[in-house]
Amino acid sequence: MKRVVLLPLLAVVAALGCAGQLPPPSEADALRASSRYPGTTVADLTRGRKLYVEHCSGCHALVRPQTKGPDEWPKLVAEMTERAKLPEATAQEIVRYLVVASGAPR
Amino acid sequence: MHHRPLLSLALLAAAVLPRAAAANERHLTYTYETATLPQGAKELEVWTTGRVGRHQDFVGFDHRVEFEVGLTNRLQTSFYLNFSAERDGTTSSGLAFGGVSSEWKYKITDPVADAIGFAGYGELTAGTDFYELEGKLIFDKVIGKTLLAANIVGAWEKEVGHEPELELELDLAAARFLTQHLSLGLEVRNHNELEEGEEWEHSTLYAGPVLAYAAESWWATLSVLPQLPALKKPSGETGARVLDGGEKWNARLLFSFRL
Repeated sequence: MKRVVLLPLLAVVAALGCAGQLPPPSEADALRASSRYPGTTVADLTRGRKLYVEHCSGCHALVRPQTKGPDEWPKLVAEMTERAKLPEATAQEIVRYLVVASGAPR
Repeated sequence: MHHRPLLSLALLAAAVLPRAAAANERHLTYTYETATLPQGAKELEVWTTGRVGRHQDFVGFDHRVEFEVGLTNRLQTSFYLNFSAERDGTTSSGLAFGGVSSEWKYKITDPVADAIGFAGYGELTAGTDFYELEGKLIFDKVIGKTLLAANIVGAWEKEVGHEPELELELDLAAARFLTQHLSLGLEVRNHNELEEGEEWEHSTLYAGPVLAYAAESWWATLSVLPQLPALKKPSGETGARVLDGGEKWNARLLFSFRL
């Protein structure tokens, strides 16, 4: 009886988990970033992702980077920077992560 | 019933407080989401819960005023003032102070960034004649424009002159973001009460729609949850629903603004 309940529950949890998350930045992302942001490393992008999750998810559900174009993100983050009173350096790290992640192959 | 002063206070505060950054919106009323306020952010939430219909002509209102602050980007705490008013048959009470609560919430994973959002929650309430400890495990997930959330809730309550009671609740909800500001969903509550050392008293079920609107610096969420036929009724209960301690209709309005 327990299996009857647990198996569908595990299937739902697995499906939810696979339904999407923000993957950690990779070497391919850093390589792609170099044309727009020379010298960008995986660590830079990882830090940008962390700042995005920590600073933005408190006010609204996070927007997946690929739902906007690379050129849309700087303007959107600039608007939010004012509202959320983000330090400029933090905002720039977030922008770099979002711009690079938005161009990742799907 | 004297609930106008609280509403007036909230509306006045919303009118005079400066516009600020986006608020930490809630899209559901009973089911919590994992989001916590950013570090240093503060919010004031006004809760109104209406409960209508028991065996007699019953109307009850619970009011809570909550001051919420983000201690870190993952940890938030809140302080509540609780009030209530009831009319049961011919007996009526005006708005009375019901105690204070302290809430703590810690977010571990995020519903978009991680496979599933998860947060832990604890609340201590000291009433005028009771105290209560409550814990929640909060799960949520955002898939596209759909929010899914589940809470497992346990509460231990001790009222003066009564045996302690244990309450277990499972809250499930789904909401769809219709626009950037508006969401519509469904909430389901399964509430169970157990008297300590005694048997399982009852298991009630509520389900209904929930509507939420979020602006830049404030948000409001309303749910209307009628009671459905009970999963377990106490002995002596003749109807399909539990109307001794539960009610036919439950509506909750949350209104919040950023300080």
